[in-house]
Amino acid sequence: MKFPRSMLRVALLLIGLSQSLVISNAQFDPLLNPRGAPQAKTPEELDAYLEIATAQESRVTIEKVKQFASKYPSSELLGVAYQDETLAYKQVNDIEGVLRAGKRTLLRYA
Amino acid sequence: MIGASFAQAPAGTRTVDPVPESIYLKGHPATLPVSLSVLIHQQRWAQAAELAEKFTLEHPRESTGFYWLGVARQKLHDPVRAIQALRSAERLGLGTPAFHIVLGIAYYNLHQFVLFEEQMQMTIRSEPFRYEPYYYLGIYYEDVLNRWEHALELFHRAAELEPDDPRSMYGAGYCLEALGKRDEAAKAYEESIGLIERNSGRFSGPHQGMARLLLDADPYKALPFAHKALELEPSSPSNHVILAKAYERVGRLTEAVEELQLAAYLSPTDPSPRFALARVYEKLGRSEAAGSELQMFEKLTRIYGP
Repeated sequence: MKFPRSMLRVALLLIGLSQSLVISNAQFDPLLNPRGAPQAKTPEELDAYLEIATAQESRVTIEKVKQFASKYPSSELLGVAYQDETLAYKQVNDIEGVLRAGKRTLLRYA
Repeated sequence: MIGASFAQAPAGTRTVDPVPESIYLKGHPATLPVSLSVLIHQQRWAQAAELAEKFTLEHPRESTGFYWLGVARQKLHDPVRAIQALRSAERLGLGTPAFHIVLGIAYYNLHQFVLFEEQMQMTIRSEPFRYEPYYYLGIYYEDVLNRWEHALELFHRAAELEPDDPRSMYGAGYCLEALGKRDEAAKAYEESIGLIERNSGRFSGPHQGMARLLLDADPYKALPFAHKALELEPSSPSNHVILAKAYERVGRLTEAVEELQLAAYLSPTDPSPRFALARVYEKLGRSEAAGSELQMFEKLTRIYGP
């Protein structure tokens, strides 16, 4: 499949973003900043996010993010969930998935 | 008005013991298997986590294994998996007041403050005369929200309910210091020091607070308090910083550098010891070292700063 040049540029940008997100898990995770940490409103909402955060397989992460977004569409944790999704798509070399999830991430932080 | 030295105290970084023994031992009513009990009492948390996990697999309908797995994981500074284990215990029916404090502290350590507050309020509702929820809520209002007046009320309530606990009185002193009431803060610190001396405690907060209060007016008087704070809790980076500041004020610059280097080593993501190091190096005429520390300060501030 051939991508238009502009789409490739966005893809490269998002791959760059997703690579910086690898570092983010250790250093820049929003949950690490006490003042700006996104808050779960119920224990169940946090349980659902922690399932994403601790999933061992990328496909499981992607599926769980879908379920999370559908069940908690206004969750403050959606931004970090989409970051996880972007990384998961990168792990399975799905460039279109990286694009979609990366855009969703950027929109949450816009 | 907040004192200059106080303003340099790191914000949002107040340490909370992952789970104090006085709480976690009361979190679950069931008798423990002897092997697990031994590991817990010896505080061998990695092995305790392993054994507790095995217990959860063998007894998936009992909350005991999940509870102790959660406690052990908190002790191992893994709040995510601690919460998961504790929530499993809760789903299996565990709901003692001490359990809610343990779970609340795990939420706090993951910066999930809405859920943390909910757990503390649940404990207050079921055991209104327990001091710990007031104490932890006090830390939250003081350290994260900087709502000093409300935090002060919470610490006072905690101290009222448990007059022997030096931490609540120290918390009150810290809030008074932040509110610019330095004399009242000193009284609270002295009271807290008295409690530590009576109970042979190992808590350094009020000694550090006294050193901070005395630093500008009389650094020679600040020194013994800073020394004592470090003696009580040598692995606390802020104790090294306060001792370094006292050394710097009395002109013992080489010793100040040593303490600041230790603080930077113990807290590698905190930019403040780097800034202080740059200043002391400058005073020592070591411009190159000062420049390098300043660069590190700027880098750490960009990444981890407020």
